Amino acid sequence: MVLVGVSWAWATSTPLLGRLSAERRWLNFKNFAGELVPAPVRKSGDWGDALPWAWELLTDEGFLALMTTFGIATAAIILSGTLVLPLLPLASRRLARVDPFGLRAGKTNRAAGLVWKLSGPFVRFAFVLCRSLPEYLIAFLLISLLGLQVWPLVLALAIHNLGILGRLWGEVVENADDSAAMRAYAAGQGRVGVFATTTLPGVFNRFLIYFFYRWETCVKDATVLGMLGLLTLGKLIALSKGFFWDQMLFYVLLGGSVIVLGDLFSMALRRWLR
Amino acid sequence: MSGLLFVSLMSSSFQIDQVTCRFGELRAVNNVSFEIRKGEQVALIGPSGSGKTTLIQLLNTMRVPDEGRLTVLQNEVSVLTPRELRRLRTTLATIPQHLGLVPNLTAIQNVILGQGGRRGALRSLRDLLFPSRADALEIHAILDRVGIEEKLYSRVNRLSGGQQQRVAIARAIFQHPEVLLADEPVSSVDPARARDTVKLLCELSAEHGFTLCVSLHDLALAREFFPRLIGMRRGHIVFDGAPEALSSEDQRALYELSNEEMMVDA
Amino acid sequence: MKAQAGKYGLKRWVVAGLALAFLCCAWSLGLTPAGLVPPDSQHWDRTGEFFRAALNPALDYEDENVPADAEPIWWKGIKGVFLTLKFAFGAMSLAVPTALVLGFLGSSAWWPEPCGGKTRLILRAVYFISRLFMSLIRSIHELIWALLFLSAMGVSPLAGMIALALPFSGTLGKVFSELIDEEARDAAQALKAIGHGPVQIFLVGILPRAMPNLITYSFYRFECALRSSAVLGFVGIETIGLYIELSHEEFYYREVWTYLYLLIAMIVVVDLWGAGIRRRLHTSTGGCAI
Ligand SMILES: Nc1ncnc2c1ncn2[C@@H]1O[C@H](COP(=O)(O)OP(=O)(O)O)[C@@H](O)[C@H]1O
Ligand SMILES: [Mg+2]
Repeated sequence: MVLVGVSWAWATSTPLLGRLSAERRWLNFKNFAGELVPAPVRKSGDWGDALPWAWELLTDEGFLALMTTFGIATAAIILSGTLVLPLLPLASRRLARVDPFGLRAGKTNRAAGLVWKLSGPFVRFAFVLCRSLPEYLIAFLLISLLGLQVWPLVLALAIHNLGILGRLWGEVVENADDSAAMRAYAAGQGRVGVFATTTLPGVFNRFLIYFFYRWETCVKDATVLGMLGLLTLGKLIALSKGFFWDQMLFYVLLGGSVIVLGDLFSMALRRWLR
Repeated sequence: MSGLLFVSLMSSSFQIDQVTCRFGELRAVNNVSFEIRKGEQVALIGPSGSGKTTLIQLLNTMRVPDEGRLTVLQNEVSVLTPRELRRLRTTLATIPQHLGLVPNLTAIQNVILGQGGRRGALRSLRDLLFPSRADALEIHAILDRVGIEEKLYSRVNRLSGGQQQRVAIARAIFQHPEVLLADEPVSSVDPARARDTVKLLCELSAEHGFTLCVSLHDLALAREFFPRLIGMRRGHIVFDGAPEALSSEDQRALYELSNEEMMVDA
Repeated sequence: MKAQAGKYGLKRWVVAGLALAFLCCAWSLGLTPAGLVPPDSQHWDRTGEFFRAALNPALDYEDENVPADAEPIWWKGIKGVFLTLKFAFGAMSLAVPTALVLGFLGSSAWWPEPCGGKTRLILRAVYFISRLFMSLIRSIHELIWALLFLSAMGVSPLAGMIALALPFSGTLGKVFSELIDEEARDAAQALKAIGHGPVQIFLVGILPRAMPNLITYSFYRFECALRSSAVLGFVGIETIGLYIELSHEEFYYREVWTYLYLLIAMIVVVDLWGAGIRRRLHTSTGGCAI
């Protein structure tokens, strides 16, 4: 099946290389590569000149863009985490039913039974829907509705990650050991109480691990969401594209190094949490 | 190379001469010397932590001695190149304590990997996907001999512990080894099964003529089946001889806790 | 963790810290509740129209200039879905083999043993260089790769596929190497002890064992690749994203919704399919989403 898919993808993608001849392509590429060298270096041939140039780009707009990127990602991931948490008990296969953990919950009416029967699948399907749309697309649509401001980006990231965190955290909850939760329920606590006082503390560290993993991804995505027109690195990259390849490369590398740093940070954090 | 192929009838399988193997400060194997001749059946006995596993890893060349000389089938281990080392290893079958089967392959696929060292990567891959008829027949016969022929195409993670152990033995037999080393092969099965397994290993050794060296926890089993016992204690050899020669003093030296060890335990 | 001091203990502070971080970000970005509603009547109208369009997606082109004999819109949408699928397949078929090689180089389970000074040094170097390489290529977003490649090579499907495959093989490779190293090593050790070579151990001992997790994770990344390839439509590659953008530019919201519904349907189907695979292989993305 996979083989069929792959061969279909390749077989029908001709002409893969467009219509340009090989020499032409190589010439293009050489020009392009030349343009990637920082402008002052191109002029003087001295790589020492690159440093002040980079510093100027950084202090001029780069730094501000960097902070915006970080802010958007952080706000978005915290927002979606806050939204997912109360939904988790409603999505859990063990908790969201008339008789949580298979323990009898007393005499209930039909309506309650129906509600609990539907709540799990409904919430889980809502998660699927949320994660099915790429954040870039959501942001694109929201900007046209809400105008060019920061909220659409935050919302887009938050909505998409709502779905993803819902799935990842949901899986953690399903796989968690729930003997303590059962005891608490048998001792008379309600569903939400059980979730908040026994399940959640037990899985908190794993939750945090996923949380930071998604935060990392959000930083990366926030970078490119800027291409829609807000001052993040993505905007700077999109603006300098085509005219100032050297600047573009600088911003790309800046974004990349930030992500590598975030990567290292969350790796250290994960090791600490394990 | 020719030394590798030259094995005279009564030559030795292992010559181990004042060998020491360290983990940091700890001498897991400490100044040990002995010889195992070809075709011999030897049980390594000793309490846990006495260095049996480390010694077996020295014998199967997965570790090199920090001091001393180790000769395996006429090859001085420390001077072999990686290539020669791999060539040598194809003649040494090992059954590690946790068996080392690939869990989501079938029994026949696991057994066929016994020849993988000789056959190389591409041939092994082909063997995994399309085993040759000759191999399949031979493996069927081996599995029949060890008593699980009906499990030929079962995935090994669906087999019981005892059955998995049989697969590991079959893999070792299919390798056609000069030597079979088994590390505590019976530590995780019930006593009746343990006796069967040890008996099977000894019989196979006699049938195929390979040298057998088994580390065992259980002194009674070792005494019943093996003509030679090597007793280890904290990296040293404290006994080497026939089971009849094992005095009760030797046993105490082997298994009783000394004062300092009790202090450590407490 | 000192979780014993009260149910939440240290965790309370983590939560408080996150709340504080949110307030800081909101303040520095100027996020106010007022920003959550459309700013003026024009945007209000547009919002209303957009959501009304959700209820009756276009079954026919809204553009009058489309010739009568053009393919119907649902057909065009389905074609877009298939183009997106095809693109993701192409990218993954580049990314998975690359990632396997990178994952091999970036893991240590196959290293020969005993492994003396010089060999070990070389292997370490290879290990770190490949890990560094993986983290470099995945630290740049696929859209930015796409911008770079499309400028360097011109707009062609191949350029897009490579752009998508690069960061994906970085992520896949990293996860593969971790999955490989986290699997129990007993089988690899046993095969080493009977003379298998490094590559052989990887192929016959390690790979089959890690396979269920590798498949699950690759499938998860395939879902991501689908979304990404839809987004690549925005930089000019012909996937459903391109159709959405073009219709949106002309304010044909009902067409936008047709495409959106098709896109959502495709991703939901693939998502459910992935859940089925996970159930059959007894794996969870949880173990390997990182
Ligand atoms: N990889 C290792 N690193 C450090 N110490 C080890 C290692 N393997 C074994 N040891 C130590 O060496 C000693 C002998 O261990 P081992 O050979 O496994 O004994 P046995 O197999 O008889 O139980 C033990 O004290 C053990 O803690
Ligand atoms: Mg041991």
